[in-house]
Amino acid sequence: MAWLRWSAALLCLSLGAPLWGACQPGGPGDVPDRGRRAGAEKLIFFASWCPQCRDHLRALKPEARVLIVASFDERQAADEALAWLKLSRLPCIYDVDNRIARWQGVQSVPASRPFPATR
Amino acid sequence: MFWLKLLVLVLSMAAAQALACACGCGAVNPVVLDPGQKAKVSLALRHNRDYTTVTDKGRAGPDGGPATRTVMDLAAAAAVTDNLSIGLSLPLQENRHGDRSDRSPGDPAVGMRWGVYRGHFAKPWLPRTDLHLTWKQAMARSWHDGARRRNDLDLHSNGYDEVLPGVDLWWGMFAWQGGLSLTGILPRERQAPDDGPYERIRPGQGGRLTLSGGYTLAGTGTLLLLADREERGRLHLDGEPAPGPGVLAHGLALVAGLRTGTQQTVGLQIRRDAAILANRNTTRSNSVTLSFMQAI
Repeated sequence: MAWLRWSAALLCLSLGAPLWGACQPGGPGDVPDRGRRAGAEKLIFFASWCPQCRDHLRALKPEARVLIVASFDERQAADEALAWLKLSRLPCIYDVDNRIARWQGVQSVPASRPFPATR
Repeated sequence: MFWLKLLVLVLSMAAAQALACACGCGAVNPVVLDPGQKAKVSLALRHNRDYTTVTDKGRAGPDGGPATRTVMDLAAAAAVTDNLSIGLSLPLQENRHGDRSDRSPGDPAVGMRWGVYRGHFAKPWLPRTDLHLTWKQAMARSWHDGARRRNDLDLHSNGYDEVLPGVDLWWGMFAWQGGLSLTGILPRERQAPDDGPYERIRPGQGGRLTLSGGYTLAGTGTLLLLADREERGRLHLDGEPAPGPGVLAHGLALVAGLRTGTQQTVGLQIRRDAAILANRNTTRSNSVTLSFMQAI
């Protein structure tokens, strides 16, 4: 089955997606479970087109207990941004249709919210 | 007093609700939506004064038109999809000369803007890229209709329907930011005044190049210097080019945007038309614009 793994890896590379730590699509219903699994204390909202988000994420330590939420963005761009910041190992949700942002009342990025969510 | 009251109203709105740029950068153009924004409204108040005519030889002389012009521009944009938005601009103008004045709606414009590329902080040298297309409808009174009041007080339009396609590039990933904007000016041929010797007037096509650069203090605001060059070809009267050159104008502006809330921006622009380099067949003036933008 090695050829299958290599083929999958090559496919991922050709699509420009990182092989690990990519933002998995999700909505508000996925936040509690993923946040608990990650031991998160905070939700960090970001977008790859926002330079302030870069500075905000750079300030995070690799062991930070956060759940990253990629909102107002395209999934591949968000994955590339985290890979570039070497933060692909942090848990991340790709916010489909920005539903998590709406749920948390986030209108602009960067933004952070406490976890567990109080809303 | 009407404009003063309006200014107070704008300022009080700003103070009460304190802008809406998703990243706190405070877009200078009111109809540019950031990703995630659903709509944006802008109210701008511009006051022009010190009008001077610049002749086809580039010499400045007195201008016989209004001494001042004040324009209130209400603009709005709404997102159709994540990358496509539509916009509308409705100006209301007041021309003034001494104690006489004339107030009228200006030419409305509708447009669409397509965000081709949003930018990416891992690729900071690739600019945010927008394509836009605007239609300006000539509705206000222009010299084609003839002035009924002294000093052309009742003229509020150039009289041409115009199509304005363009591309905006914005390098915004560093504290020092810059942009380049290219806009085509494609006016439509129109009927000449009834009492004139010609039947059809075809204005020259042209374009505008705008370069901007400045500093952004994250989350607080932006200070930009803008320089632009506008060029328009010669008029054609019944298919024959009119004598003399077309329009050439180089403007200079200083723009400040202050973020007054998570979704609100207050802007101030100080501008001089035909300010630098060679200019011809145009009008020189100074203006101050105060604007308020609210995103939703």
